[in-house]
Amino acid sequence: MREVININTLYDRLSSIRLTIFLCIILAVVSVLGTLIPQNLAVAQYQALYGSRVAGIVTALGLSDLYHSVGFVILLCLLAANLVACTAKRLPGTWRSLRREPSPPSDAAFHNGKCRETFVCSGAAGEVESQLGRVVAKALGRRPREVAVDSIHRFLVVEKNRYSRLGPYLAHASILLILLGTLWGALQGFKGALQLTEGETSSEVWLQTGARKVPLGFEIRCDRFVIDEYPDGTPREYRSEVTLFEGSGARIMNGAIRVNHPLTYRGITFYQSTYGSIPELTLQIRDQESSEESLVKTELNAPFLLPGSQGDRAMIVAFQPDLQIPEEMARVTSFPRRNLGPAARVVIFNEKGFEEPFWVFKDLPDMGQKEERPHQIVLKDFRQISYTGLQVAKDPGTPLVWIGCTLLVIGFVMALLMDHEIVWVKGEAVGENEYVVHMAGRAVRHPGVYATRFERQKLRLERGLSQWLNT
Amino acid sequence: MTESHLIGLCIWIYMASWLLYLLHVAFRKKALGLAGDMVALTGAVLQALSIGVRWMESYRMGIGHAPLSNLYESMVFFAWTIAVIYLVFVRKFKDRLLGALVMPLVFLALASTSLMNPEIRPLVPALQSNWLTAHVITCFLGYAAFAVAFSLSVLYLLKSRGRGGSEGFLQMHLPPADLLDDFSYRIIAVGFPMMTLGIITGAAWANSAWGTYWSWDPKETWSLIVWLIYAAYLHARIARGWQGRRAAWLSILGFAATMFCYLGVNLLLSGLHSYATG
Repeated sequence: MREVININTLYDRLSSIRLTIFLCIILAVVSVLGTLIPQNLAVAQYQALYGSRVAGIVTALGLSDLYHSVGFVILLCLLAANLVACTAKRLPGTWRSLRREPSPPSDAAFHNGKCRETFVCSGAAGEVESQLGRVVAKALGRRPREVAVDSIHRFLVVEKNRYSRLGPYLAHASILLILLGTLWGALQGFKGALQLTEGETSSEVWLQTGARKVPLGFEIRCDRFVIDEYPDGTPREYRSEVTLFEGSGARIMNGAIRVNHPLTYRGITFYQSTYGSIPELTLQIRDQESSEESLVKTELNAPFLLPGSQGDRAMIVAFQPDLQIPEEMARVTSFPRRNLGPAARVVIFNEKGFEEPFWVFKDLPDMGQKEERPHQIVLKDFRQISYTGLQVAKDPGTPLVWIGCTLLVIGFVMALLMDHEIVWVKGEAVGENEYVVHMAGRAVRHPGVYATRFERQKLRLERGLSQWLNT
Repeated sequence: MTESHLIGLCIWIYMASWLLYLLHVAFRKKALGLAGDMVALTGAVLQALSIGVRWMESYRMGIGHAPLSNLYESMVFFAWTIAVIYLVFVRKFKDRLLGALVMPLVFLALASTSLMNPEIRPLVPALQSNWLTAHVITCFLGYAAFAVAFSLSVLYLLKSRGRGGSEGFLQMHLPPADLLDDFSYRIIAVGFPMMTLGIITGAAWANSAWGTYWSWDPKETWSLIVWLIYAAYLHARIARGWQGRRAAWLSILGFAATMFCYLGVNLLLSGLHSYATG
């Protein structure tokens, strides 16, 4: 017995509007927290901001990724449950009352109600009675329905926007649809980034969250990257001209990606996000033994074989277009000046291990060289290569979200801007030469606003009956 | 006349309208209220002209765009939409006492633009989108409706508080409390769908520019916070114990959140929307 009562109370609480208000306010307050505490920072950054104790609390409570935390998701689930329960509780009753044809109001409505009028028509009662339907249709803009009650009176009713009362239910259902769409996208979609220099091809994307790569299923190559500027230097447009290829090498299509004009293929969309440049360095390698020289073009953190060696490799781990050294260091060491020009930091390694990294300078080719090294490495030149930064996203839930948004707006229009309006007209013959027409109207949601509309309806009916009315 | 001349003139006109409404409240002369209406209408028309002038000027400079792209332009538009919504309200419901509380908002909003940079600047790529116009207009119509509802709720709280004594002046001169409550509901019933359209158009724009329709950016999150508060308000009307004063406080809280969403986020927090300032 106790179980049943508990479930009923739970259902009552879950379907209460006060719970809705409570949840809306709680969600709002919790969301404020996420705007005051920076989201998705590294632990070290939180420690720098708040000290290690508070940073520990922040990460433990999930405040660093608040909107995906368990607590927030639970609140959203509660809101969804509240929506479903409220609808389940109220929709059947509303539907039944909407399916029922309205019955004529009592005499009180015609005599004492707020929006009512009585017209006394003199003339052939039969004539007025037979014309009544046409007159009412003209005055109220819609053909009336006739309801038979007794043989003395005629009851006509004109109804508007009956089903607009389903508006709130549509709005709530569409919110559920939107939540479902976001859930689907979160589970089955991904967000990532891709950097391509001109001419570079890639078939994988770095995920935004964490260091994982996701395969595209096809290849994308950046053919050209163009930046257009306004006269004052601010960017007017940047676009990437790309070609898509199958894994086999077959060309699929060309395309251009601009800000606000993304490219979509096979459910994956590429967005123009950012751009930048990275250095490409030209190194001259001299084999000390054979005196052979060779030129190598490389980028940062890209190992290359040293020619003529037994598996020795080198890598540039840092580059500065103009390396500067602090004042004190310039005095103490043998550097000729503080601005040393373009400088690259080289590290040589093989399977036995890494050697000590050293700097080489374009303008000071002799600095940093050591006689005993088997290879002499000189920085000959460098240039900046631009790359395009693309956001790559897949979100299968998006269409569902847009459908939900459209239905939400329709639901609003029905719920807040339309009103269910019912106007009754009762006609009765009083003797042979008099016919009395009563009129009573009401609107379900906004009776106050309807009062103004009723005045206009009253005037139009008066005009329609004017030929039988004494002024 | 240049745009800045027109704006300067409008600031004085709105202030004059405010003074007329205050006098209307003090002396209860209908003529003063009507004068306030006329002056406010003049201001709104002149402001519409100034917005048009700025729009045309941007095309003349070769960087044509609707004047809705930064803090200065949005604040000018905000002042104008509050004035327009208020004037529509006055025409329908004839309650001019509200003017004494709404005109200062219009005046302050427009006056604050004299502290901002009025330069017409070209649009960066992310702002070059048709969604910009739809998003800004719907958001600000929503904000303006919430501003008028805020004034109505303040009047409601004043009216429903005292029952005579030192509050006698207010009791005599304000419309009935339930009428004020009904007005604020009707205005929010217009503002809330507008705000919802604003969020939706913003999400559609974000989807085409940044690859995702929602990224919990502070600006997006605060617009959701505002949405939730007004959703709570609309439900408070049919919840036991939440009608009347509690609902009015929700409306006031909602407007405070609206102002933080519009200004606080840009000026105090950082995020994707920060380029909208200046």
